[in-house]
Amino acid sequence: MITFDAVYKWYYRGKAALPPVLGELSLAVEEGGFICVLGSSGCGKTTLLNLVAGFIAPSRGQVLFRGKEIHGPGPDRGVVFQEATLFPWRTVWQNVAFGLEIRGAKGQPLQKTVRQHLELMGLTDHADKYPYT
Amino acid sequence: MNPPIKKTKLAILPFLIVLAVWQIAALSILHYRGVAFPTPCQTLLRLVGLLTGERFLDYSLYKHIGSSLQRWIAGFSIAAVLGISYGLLAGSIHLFEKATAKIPQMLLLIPGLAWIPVALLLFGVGESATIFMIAMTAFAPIAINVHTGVKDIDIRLIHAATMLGAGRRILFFKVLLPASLPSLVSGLRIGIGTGWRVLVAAEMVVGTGAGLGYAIIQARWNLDYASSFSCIVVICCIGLLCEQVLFGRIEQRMAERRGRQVEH
Repeated sequence: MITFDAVYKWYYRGKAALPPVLGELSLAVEEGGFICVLGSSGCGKTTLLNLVAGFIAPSRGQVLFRGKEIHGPGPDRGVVFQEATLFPWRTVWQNVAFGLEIRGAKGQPLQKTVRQHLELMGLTDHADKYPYT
Repeated sequence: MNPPIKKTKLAILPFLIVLAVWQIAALSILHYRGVAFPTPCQTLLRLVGLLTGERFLDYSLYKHIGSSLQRWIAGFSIAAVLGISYGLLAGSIHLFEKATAKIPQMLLLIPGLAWIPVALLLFGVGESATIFMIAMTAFAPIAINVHTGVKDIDIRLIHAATMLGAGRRILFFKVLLPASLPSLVSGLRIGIGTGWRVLVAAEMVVGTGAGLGYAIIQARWNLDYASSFSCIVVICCIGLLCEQVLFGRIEQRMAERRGRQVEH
């Protein structure tokens, strides 16, 4: 469960605080829930996601995940970025393997999982290519 | 015209221009001042003689090249280790950056030869003084480039890695280090060129007994200008080889991997 408890978020220009992007936002998203956030450009949609991901901290209030305050990014919460976020020095295969390697996967299980996901996305033939080439 | 032929012709052009200007200058100086200024041909002949084993200031040309390369590698290695370490630390630890960021900036402003009195006071005449000067001069461009490279890393890559569970160590070795590699190589490339230039100048002044800079200045005292010029040609060739061919290729390869093109 994700909970926003009276969250404010404002940014700064130099030392001067700009008007808040989010003001006293309280929201609860149940486990397995599906919500759609709509709004015009600049209304705070990305800020909302960045707070959940832990990339930024609220200016006031709390963002909680399973009852615990979020203090930074972690593998328990995932965000799909708006732009492609790939490591350009790693091949397609190595990019897919990155998260698994961090979690200690290696050998056959790692190879199998990466192969499965490349097949799923139709990227098997591109496994050895670099992302932006 | 066939593109590879055109490219080769364009690559040769600067050398031809230098040779032509050099030839004209040599003939003009001889004509107007009566001074025997070595021509490209005379220099080449002397260079061939030196390369085929003629002794020069008690040693072969290879010994002079070897001595210079040894000092260069020693000084540059120290600068590279310190510069890369500094850049990575300053790029990742905010407090360290705040406290020290001005130091490489200040060092960058000090010309290589200005280190001579410091080097002589610290190490006296000889090898160590020259190595110290190379290290001090090459350190700043390497440190600044690596630092900038780490600072300029796309924040989304760091976010993506931390979201996947990367801790500080993994973030450092698997994201920060490879992501800053292009800047690191650029820094090394600038550092190696700077170090080479100061090496030759330091050998001229500090007095090392052997080395290309030492050979240039000694040959000049003996009025053996053709040998001096030969050494300058060797210096130029070694510098070009390292800076353009070695580092240029590494940069090109990295850029291609990252879907970018580098013009040389």
